Amino acid sequence: MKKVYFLVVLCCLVALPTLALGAGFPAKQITIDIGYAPGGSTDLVIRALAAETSKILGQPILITNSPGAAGNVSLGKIKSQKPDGYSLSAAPTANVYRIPHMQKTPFKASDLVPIGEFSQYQYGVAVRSDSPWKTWEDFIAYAKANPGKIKYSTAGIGTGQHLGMEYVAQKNGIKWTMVPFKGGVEASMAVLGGHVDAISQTTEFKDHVLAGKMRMLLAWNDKPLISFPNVPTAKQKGINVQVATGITLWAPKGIPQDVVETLATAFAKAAQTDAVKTVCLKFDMPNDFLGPKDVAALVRTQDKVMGDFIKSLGLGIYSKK
Amino acid sequence: MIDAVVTGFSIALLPQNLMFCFVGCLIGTLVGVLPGLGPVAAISILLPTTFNISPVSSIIMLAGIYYGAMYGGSITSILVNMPGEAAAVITCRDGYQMARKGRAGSALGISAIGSFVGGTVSVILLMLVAEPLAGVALAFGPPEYFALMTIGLVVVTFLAGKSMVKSLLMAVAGLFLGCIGMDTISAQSRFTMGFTFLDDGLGLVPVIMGLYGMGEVFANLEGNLSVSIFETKVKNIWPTIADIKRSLGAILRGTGLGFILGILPGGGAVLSSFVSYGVEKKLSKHPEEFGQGAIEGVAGPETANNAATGGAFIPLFILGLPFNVVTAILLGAMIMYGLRPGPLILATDPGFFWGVIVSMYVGNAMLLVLNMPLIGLWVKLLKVPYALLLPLIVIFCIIGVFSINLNISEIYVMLIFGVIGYLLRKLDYDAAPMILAMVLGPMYENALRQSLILSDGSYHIFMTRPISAVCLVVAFLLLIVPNVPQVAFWRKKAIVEASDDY
Amino acid sequence: MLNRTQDQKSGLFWFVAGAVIVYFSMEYDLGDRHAPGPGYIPLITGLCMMLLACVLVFRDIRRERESISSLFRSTNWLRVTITIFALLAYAVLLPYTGFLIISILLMYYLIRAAGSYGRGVSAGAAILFSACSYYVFATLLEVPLPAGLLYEWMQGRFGQ
Repeated sequence: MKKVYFLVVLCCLVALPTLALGAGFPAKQITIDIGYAPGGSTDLVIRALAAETSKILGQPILITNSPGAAGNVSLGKIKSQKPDGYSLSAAPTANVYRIPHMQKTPFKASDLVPIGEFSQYQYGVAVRSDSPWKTWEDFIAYAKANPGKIKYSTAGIGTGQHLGMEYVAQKNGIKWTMVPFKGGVEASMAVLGGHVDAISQTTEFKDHVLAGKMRMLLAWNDKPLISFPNVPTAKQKGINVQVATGITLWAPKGIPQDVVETLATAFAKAAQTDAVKTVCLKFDMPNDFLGPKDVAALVRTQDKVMGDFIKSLGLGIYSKK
Repeated sequence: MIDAVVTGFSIALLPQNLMFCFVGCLIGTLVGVLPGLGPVAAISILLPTTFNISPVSSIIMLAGIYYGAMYGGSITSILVNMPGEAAAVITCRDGYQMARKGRAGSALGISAIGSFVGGTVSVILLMLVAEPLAGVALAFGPPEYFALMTIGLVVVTFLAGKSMVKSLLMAVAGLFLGCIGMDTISAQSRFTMGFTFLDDGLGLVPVIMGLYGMGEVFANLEGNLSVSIFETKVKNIWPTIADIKRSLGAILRGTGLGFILGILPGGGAVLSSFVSYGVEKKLSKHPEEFGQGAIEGVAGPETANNAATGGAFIPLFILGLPFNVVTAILLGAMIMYGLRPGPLILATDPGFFWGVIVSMYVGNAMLLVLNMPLIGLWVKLLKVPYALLLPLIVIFCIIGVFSINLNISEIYVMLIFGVIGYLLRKLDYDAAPMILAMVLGPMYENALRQSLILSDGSYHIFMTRPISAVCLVVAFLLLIVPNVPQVAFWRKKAIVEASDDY
Repeated sequence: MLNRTQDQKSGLFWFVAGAVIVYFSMEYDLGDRHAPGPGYIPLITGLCMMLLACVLVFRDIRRERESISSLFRSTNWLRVTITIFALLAYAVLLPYTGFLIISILLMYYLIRAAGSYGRGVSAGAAILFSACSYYVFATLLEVPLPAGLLYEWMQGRFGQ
């Protein structure tokens, strides 16, 4: 009996210091669960960011992957984790403000708190270089005059790049047809092979533009594309639709505000390091970091805007059947 | 071009690159042998460790894993009726039967030889015709894929064993299973019952591991396990001259089929192995042997799946577009190293391109040398009491399935299909048509619906486009001609005459 | 329904399965021949399944074959069933106990179920196999196998 008593006291003594540890965040390893498979651009870019952030925070950051459903599996997992800042998920911002309007998701926007949005995937509209349209205006004019003739490919219905095109169509009275493919690679093949007239997608086709086989007409990002700074952006053309998304680090709701601040500051600093910049540039992505308040505001706004737009098109969860 | 190849050799034959090539091939073979773990998992796992090595060496090693896995995948197919790799599923059929008859050595040997020929020839073709073939790949749009898949579905009927009805039922079931998941065209989740991870579909690996891995385990648990797998004496360690003679045709056809199908997106190695089997069965003078241990049923598919790996590199290098998961990971790796395969590769970095190409040739040779002597070792594996092998197989399947998406739910999928696989064996159904249909189904459906979107609803598009029309005609002929009375008569005559020669 | 042959019983299964598929396919937009919706192809597979099931049963009525109960009679189906449940238990318990413990238990059961080794050898082999697998996969290949609740709790308490 005395032995047991002694052991209990010993355990408490050992445990005591850890209770005090709660004060200084981070006090131990942080885990970031990436919503994509290892080896892909998202994974490698976030790993680079995590490596630098870990140095700044002074604690190791463990990377896990929960690929599946383009990031939804990871988000589904994170919402039930402890909101102490030691478990984060990396998934595109659009997964939270747009995708719940397209399909049933295992999470709601209110379950998650953004720490910040890192980088931005590069999106654009491109045609083959042998097509008659040299500028975006040419393309629009032709589409207006020939309703139903233009066919363009994307990697899926209800994606940002699809909605962007439909927004343009609504504003200009255009009727064109979208052909969905499974992924940007197939979509690029379709336009390269002449099966569709144009592509609105992330820039998998970048090398073909550089080789002169394709021509970019428009960039969907807010800032000019890294590889194609001369391509006009949607904003420059007065098209106000949020197509591009970056990768946000999400925490479950209930995370203390000061923990959010600490993490956000660290990530922002890490994003500016040369190491991270190099990796990002390899994948043609910027190394910007958007702070938590801005991302939260973005999510709130776009949740409404996208929701209304998708509803007006009758897509996703608003479709008739 | 000759000097380019010489440059390639000078890079590929550097001592460190030879070493990495060897390591890659070894790991690939091991990974291929282990049920569950596939080249995708191995490459993703090893990717971070390659960041400290030179880019060319890394790609040489990772590529080695890819085609090495095609060599290794057939070993467990032949020995324990469990494919180590999706592309080795059809090898189980005749390979395992050959092993039961004591001809495991022949099966393993012809598999290695066929793999070598397929892999090497496809690399040579890659060197010669990469650019024009990339153009051909681009010419395939949705209508062309639809027509090609139709040929694929006709091939499913070739796979039918004794009962056509049962094979068709399996195919229809596979078609349905392929529909589980998020529909590409409408972005709706179908039949996922609220499970998020099913949005990506059932997953080929859990299903195959379940049907073949667990199913085989359950079936074996019925009986006496204290004996080793086969009591029959193993007749020969290596294939005989007669074996090689018979397999020649299969190997040649497998190479062509595999290479061409590997260029096209989608199934690649899996599809080519199935199609090769179907073709060999149809062309054979002894079609009734297929399913009982016909060596062509091993030689053809094994050659085809290795040839497909060579074909798959064409779109990766020439177009910069990866057509399957493995090449997609390799592309990410290459980008990390600052290399950009694609239309600019030959201009910016020919050394990398040729270095990797030639190393693939070297790798295939290494694998042949590696695998042939090991056959004796693998055959000895048969002597291990099944009671000990079984738990290992089970645990490897579980880890393998888990390691793909780190999702325990996929283990449940595997178990469910394990029970299904067990029942299928008891009730005399063959799962192969179901697997082929599961792979083809979604591609087929997408191609159909995309084509109809392109044509605004008209079915004429399939006949007005030349490639598509040709493929559809071929599919029609493949279906009808062998059954036409005259042809059937001549084939019967040929079979009778051939059997007289024996 | 006693002693109907195996093909007829499986035919019945296919018919019911096909009907279920048809039913659930109707929940999705079917579209039409010119613009098939997500429910179109599944519906067709369900219908084909029902049709083929009828053909199967019809063909089989003509000839008598082994009844389905005899398929299982002289086999150790009890062992198979228990193994299936054991594997289910494994999957359920895996996140709680972590890889190592539950694998040792599973392996022990499997080796014993095979019937040819005594308790000591089985336990030894189970531990050996599990440890080796863990080493190869978790340590060498860095596959993050589940670590179990106890380990995670300790990690949470004492940091890394």
